[in-house]
Amino acid sequence: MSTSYRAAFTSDFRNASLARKSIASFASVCGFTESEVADIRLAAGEALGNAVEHGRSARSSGFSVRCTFADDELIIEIRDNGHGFSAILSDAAPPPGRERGLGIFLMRQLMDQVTYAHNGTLVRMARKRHVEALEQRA
Amino acid sequence: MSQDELHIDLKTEDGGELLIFKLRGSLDLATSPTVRAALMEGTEKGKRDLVVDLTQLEFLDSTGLGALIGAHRRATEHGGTFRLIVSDGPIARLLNITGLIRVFAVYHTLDDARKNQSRLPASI
Repeated sequence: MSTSYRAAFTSDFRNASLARKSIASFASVCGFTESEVADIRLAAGEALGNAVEHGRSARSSGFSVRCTFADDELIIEIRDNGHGFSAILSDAAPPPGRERGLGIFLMRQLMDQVTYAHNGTLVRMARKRHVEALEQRA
Repeated sequence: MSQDELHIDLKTEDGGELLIFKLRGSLDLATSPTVRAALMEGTEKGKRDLVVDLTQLEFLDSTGLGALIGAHRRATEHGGTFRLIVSDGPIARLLNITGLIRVFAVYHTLDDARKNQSRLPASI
């Protein structure tokens, strides 16, 4: 059995905050712990920030969110209407002290899997809910 | 106050040499330009010691970290210091993941930050 959440937004930083909160609430309802929800909220926030930044340059600017929870795994897909970009999916941390470039690194640290498709306009992130999380909540 | 808003309380001590910024709300893509500007103004007056209290901050992302990194660089370039106060939780975890806990001087309390004592070590 699966549960899902979908929404579409216009490209605005305030909408990115709104979407971030919606995704965190969805993760919480799915049974993730407070600490896991904090990780998911931050990873989603980074992806949403990128979607708004990249999508704003497009003629029809906007982004959409789709969350699915099935088999103890949360899948988050965020799509924007921008022209895309070349995501560098390195696990290496940017040099300490660099002011930009931390977002994708953080997403990869906080989620089990992060992939980009469609020239960077679609990011898909996955995070498994662990059994310990359920025990902590019991 | 909604967690999407950001409030900055600024207090000065030591005749204006020590600036204590207390942030509440969310420090993210939407609000980081405001914080960046406030911290920059603090460092533009020459040698200043900055303390940024994040214990009431609900959310911090990479753009917020960028604002803190920039302020740290400018403060130290002018011969001042830059210290953070954080509670255990997501923000401390974020500083550990990014390695910034080794760059910033991080403390649990304002008193520890004032005295430069009990600096938090990296935990991962």
